[in-house]
Amino acid sequence: METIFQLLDCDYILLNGTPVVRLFGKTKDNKTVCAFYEKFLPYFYVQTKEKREQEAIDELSKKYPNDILKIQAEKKFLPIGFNSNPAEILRIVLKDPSKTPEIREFARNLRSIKEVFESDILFKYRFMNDFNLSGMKWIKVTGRHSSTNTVKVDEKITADKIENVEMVQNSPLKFLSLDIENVGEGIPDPKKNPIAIISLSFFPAQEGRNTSVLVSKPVKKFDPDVASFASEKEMLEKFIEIFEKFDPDIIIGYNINNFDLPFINERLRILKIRRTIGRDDQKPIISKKIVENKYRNSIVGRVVVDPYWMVREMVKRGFFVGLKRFGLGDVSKFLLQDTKVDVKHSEILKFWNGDEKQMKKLIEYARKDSELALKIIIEKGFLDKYIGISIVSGLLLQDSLDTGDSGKVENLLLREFNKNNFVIPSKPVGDEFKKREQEREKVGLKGAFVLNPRVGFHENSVVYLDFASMYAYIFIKYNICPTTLLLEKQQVESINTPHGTSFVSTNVREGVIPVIIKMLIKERDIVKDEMKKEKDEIKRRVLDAKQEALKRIGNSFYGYTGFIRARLYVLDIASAITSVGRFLIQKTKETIEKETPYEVVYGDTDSIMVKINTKDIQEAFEIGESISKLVNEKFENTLKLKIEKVFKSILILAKKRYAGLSLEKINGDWREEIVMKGIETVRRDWCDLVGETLQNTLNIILKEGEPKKALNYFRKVVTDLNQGKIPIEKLVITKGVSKKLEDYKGIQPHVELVKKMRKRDSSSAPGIGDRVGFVIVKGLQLLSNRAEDPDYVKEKGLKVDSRYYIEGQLLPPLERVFESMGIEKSELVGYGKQLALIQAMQNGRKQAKEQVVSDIQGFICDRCEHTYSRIPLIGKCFDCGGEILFYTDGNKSRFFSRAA
Amino acid sequence: MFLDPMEKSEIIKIFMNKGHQLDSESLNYFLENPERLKPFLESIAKEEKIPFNINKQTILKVTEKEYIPNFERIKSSRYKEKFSVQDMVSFVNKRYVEIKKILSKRMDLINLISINKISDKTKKFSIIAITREINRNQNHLTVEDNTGRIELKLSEKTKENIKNIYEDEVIGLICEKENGSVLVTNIVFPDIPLRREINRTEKEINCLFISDLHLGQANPTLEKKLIEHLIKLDDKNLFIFLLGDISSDEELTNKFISKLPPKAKKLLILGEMDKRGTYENVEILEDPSWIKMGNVIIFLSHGNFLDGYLKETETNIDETITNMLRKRNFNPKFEFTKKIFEEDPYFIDVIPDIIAMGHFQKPTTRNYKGTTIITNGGFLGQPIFWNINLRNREIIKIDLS
Repeated sequence: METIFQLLDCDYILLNGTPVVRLFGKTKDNKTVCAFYEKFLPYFYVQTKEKREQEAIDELSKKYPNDILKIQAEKKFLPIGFNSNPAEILRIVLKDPSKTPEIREFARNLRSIKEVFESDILFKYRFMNDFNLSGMKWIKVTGRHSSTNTVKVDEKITADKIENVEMVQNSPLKFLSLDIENVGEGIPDPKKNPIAIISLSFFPAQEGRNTSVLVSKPVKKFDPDVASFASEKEMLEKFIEIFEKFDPDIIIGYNINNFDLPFINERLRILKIRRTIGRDDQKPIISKKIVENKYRNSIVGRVVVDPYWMVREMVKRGFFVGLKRFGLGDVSKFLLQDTKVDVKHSEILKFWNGDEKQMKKLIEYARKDSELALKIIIEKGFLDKYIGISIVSGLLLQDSLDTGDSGKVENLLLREFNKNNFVIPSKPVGDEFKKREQEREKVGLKGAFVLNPRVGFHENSVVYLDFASMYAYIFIKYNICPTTLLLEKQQVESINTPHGTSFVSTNVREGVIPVIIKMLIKERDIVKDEMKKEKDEIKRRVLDAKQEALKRIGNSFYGYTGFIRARLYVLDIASAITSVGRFLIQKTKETIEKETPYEVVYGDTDSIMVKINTKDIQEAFEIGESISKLVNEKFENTLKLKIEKVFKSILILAKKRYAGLSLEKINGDWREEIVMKGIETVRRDWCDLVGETLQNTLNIILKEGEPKKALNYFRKVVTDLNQGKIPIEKLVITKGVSKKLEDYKGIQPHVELVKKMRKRDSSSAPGIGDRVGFVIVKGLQLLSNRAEDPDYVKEKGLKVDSRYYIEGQLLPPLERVFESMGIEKSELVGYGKQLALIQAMQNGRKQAKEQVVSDIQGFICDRCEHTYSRIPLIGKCFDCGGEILFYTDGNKSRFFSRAA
Repeated sequence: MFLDPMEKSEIIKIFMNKGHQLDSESLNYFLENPERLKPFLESIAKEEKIPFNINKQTILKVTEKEYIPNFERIKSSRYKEKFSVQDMVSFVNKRYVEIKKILSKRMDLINLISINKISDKTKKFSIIAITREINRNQNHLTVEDNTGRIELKLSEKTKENIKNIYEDEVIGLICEKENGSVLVTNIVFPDIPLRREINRTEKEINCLFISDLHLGQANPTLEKKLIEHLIKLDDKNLFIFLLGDISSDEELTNKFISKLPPKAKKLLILGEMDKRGTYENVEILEDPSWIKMGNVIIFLSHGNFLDGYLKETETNIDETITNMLRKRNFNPKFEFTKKIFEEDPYFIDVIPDIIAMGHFQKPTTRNYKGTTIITNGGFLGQPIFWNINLRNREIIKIDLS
């Protein structure tokens, strides 16, 4: 028989002491499959010292007569340094994969052995790589039907032959989204707190139902999909039943990795309910704590997907600009324009014990949570990116979701190295680290090139040109790879880098990494084409993320050889790459400035900004084209410098920090967009006024080209703030209460406020898990004690502390913007009648601060006037973070001089 | 060409061309020390009678003549005339970071955490902190690291230590929670290593430390006695360090210097009573100074900067200096310098082999973990000074009483 399926998961079991590989997947017609392969054995390689092969063989076989099945001599190329001939190495074939670490350690300590290779490759990946299988790719398995009942799938097959099949679409995957609710005070603890409600959402629908809500106490059946039970145990048993009946391929949940799954797992264990919810009859769900508060869950044959981590990751990479908080409510609002049912975290207990109406609302709340998580994944195609990465890197989808860049790079490397008859080193341990650290300290690794920027506002066009995939070019052009590196002079055709490192030319051997990079570029081009065709904005962003991920894997290679934990750590290669990069950018700058009248105002890594003195955008574009042509000719068209953007105007604040008004030609029209790098307009600890003011200020500067107007606008905001004209809502700062108030160290404004609110009315005060909004009001106390509930402020007509909002919120980001244009802080806040006083204070103070004292009696905070006998090590006030000044006889100053 | 590894034949050829014949011992000497070849040939050319045969003795004779003992300055005491709050923050932080590096390696600092990580749950822990306020009466101590500040109480066992702690020094503190307050159960100073190699010079060098002569006020016969004694020691290998307070009269000092043995090298650190004038035939050193002779590192100072510390804690001078060595800082308290140094000359990053000071007029010698500490007497007190032979590290007492 034969079957074709998409590979979802792979693991192995031991049968009579030898491994059986299991491949789990899904067919085109929605059948679950498990293929067993019995003929694959674990192995690794050792290189012995010269003429000591037999000694090594004897020692190994003597020590492990039953565990080592075979030792065979093979000819393989060593990974680092060009060798025209392969080396003689030994393949050690074992019986049981779990024995590998022990035997590896023994081998490593043998005197006859020089080096151990590939001894830490997970058995499943050893298998997948040898058979060229990738997670989420399609495979054809030929073999016999198996009658085992150890797995819960539709088709079981003992494989004789496994082949790859080219197919682009996904199998009809089944998605189950789940969310649990607990009732009780504080952070739920699975050892004490039961699960109250489980909400499930299905895709595709399960027996005509999209959702199902299970409640652990008898309640009215508000909706057909609500089921209630006499106890938590009964509810959980039903949950297992529904789960297995639906048999999901993908399990989704918002923060499911760290909360829902470990919690359910623990409750099942405590209540002695079966935990084998995977497609294996024996292996239970495993929730492994990786670090504090971070779990990795694995369920055999299925994939666990947590949109919370995906969103965080994407925001970290610069996507979803404007998304401020990562709660399900905020994320859904941003991505789906849909949100949670309005129940505060601290109200759950009240509703659970409340009337029918409240219970109904709580059920709706729970149902909505699982629905939203499902919607994020399904509607927005979030999984596509990871599926793409799996196919390219060879990782299983679960690992593609859970591991970082280096894991992906290493799997790709292993695959390609093996294909080309190379072995790959084991991961470094112990002494090797020390050696690497010492080498690094001694030699050092120079980073990419960053040109000193011409800080300020450039109102005439600036063209932003970048080298398309510069690092990829460097790898390919110089054939950079550990396998082509010349460790010593050899009579072969070679290419030299400015660093002095040489690599053999492609005529001699094409490097493995350049080949991988070419493949990644091709794949990325395909995704980019798809992206152009895609109309749905969010889906386009996901495709964008996918092409970005491919680019990132590609770019990871350049840093990889300098990564201290890398298998292929070659500092010379890392330095060679950056040296070429620096050389290219320097040369580009020189060419432009020598051969054209234009000035390079900034350059970073692989891009360069050229100031074109024209307001005509079309002209700027054309000049940019001619510059790129000039540079490309200089590099004999092997490297491509192309226009990435044309900025009508740009404000450069510092290295890696700028904001510009970019223009892009779309269907013959110029489309404007403000592009920012290194400047945040949204931060969790800012009130809305800050983001709004910063955004507007940049708009006025860049779009209208009027820094003066921007200054006036800013001053108006300051005046309004001083006159109490800014709505309280815009001044609200929010922070979450994540633990018991007593557990907070130090004084924090939101915690102090919650304490106050509890005293006023404990029933309405925020609890753990809630977010607290507060404003800072005027007063003599410390800042932290002046946080107030916005409603209370309105009710009592309290005045907000405008000085705090100016100095603590508005100025930090905006001062930088204005400063780059030569506008000083004193000019910024000096406006209006009310401010005349502040101005006088500020200027007076400023003058005083610039005066020099000739004695130091102590130190004083310029903001809260806290005095210190010695200068705080942190350099600012411990109480309010204000600036510290010297203090002598009532005078404050920034400077001291003996001569004064 | 001389520094390249050379063949035997090459060396022989060079000597042959110059009209010399080498014996095998001297050939080996030049093979091992090729850098000596050029200076040797230059020196031998200047000899009155140019020898034909070159043997070990010829080499010794010539190299001995070539040798001029000297010293190098290894740190400067330059400081900023004008500085900002920021400069000061960086200065203090640098000190904190440097000492923290030393302390972090100490095994006794168990459960090392930063101040902001101290919570109700942490019972026994250690911190590395800079001292900010010291209340010697109540045995209280306020310390700080770069995450926060904390007030600590010294336990019965550590109470004694309070007199050895000053503000602005960086120490390790082993603490325990007790009735809501934090109790220091042990104080760990960075200290210098227990064992290290005793540094010596290859050649004979004598360092004589003289100070506090108060010429003009003291008995003139003492001066005469001293000069007579010194003349006997005259040699190019003699270094006379005048560690301050020679005389408030510039002329008397100059006269005294002119009477000192001619071949000896003379160096002067000005004390608080010496005029900032012109002194002849003497090299002026900054106060303090770090110098190196061969491998031997010497810290020199007049010593008056320690007055404040002695006053605060009422300890002996040699005890105080030893304490400072343990702290790896001779002068931690900012008030006592009010200076931001370019490289802090009081900070003990390299470990001195010899510490020599004047000022106190209490002659003492002490060895602390391989470091020799000497303080001079003076003409107004006990006229006792010290001479240290750097080749064998022998300390010779010069008692004029």
